[in-house]
Amino acid sequence: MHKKDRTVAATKIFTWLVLAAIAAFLAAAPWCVNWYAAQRGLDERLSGALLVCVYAAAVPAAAAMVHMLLLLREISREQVFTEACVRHISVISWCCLAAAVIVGAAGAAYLPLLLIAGALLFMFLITRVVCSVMRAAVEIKNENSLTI
Amino acid sequence: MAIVVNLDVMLARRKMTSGELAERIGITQANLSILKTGKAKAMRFSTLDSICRALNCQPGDILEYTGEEK
Repeated sequence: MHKKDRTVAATKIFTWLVLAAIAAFLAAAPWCVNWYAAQRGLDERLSGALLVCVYAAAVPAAAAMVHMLLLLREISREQVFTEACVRHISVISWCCLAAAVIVGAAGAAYLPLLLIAGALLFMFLITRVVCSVMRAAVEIKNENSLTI
Repeated sequence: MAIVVNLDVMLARRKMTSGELAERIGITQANLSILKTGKAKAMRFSTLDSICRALNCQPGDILEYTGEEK
C-alpha cells in the first residue's frame, strides 16, 4: 500500500472513530454533563445550558465528519481537484463556524467555552483559506485540461 | 474566444483525416476534437509546431482572429 493510501485509510478510520465518539457522547451526554457540573459545582440552569450546547453543537460536528468521509472517498478515487471536493471543504468550514457560534453563545454563560469557540473559529478560517486554494487549483486544472 | 482554429479546412486540403493528424502529432483524438470545436483555452507552441509540420502549413493557415467573442 502506498504511503498516500495509508494516510487516507488512517484518516478515514480516525474520522469514523470520531463520528462514533460523537454518537456515544450524545447518548451519554446527560450523565457526562451532570458529572461535570457536579465536579465544577455548576448550578442546574448552567448544566442545562451545557447540555443544550452539546446537543446543538453535535449537529454541525457530525455533518463535518460526514463531509470529511465524503472528501476522503473522493481523494481515494483520485478525484482531488473537483468541484465536489471544494463543496465538501466549504461545508466543513461552515460547520466549524456554526459550532463556533453555538459554543460561543454558551460561552456567555460559561466562560471556558469561549476558548473552544475561539479554536473552532480558527478552524473555520483555516478551512476557508484551504477552500479558496482548492477553488483556484480546480480552475487551473480545468484550464490545463483544455490546453492542447 | 475570438481565435478560431480552422483545422477542418487544412485537413480537407491535405486530404487527411482527424485520426491521421492526431496520430502524426501525438495527441489523442479527443484533444484534437477539443481544438477543432473551439473549446481549447490554450495551445502549446510544440503542438502548433507539430500541426504545421504535419499539414505543411503556416500558423496563420489554421489560426484566425475574428475580433468577436464566439
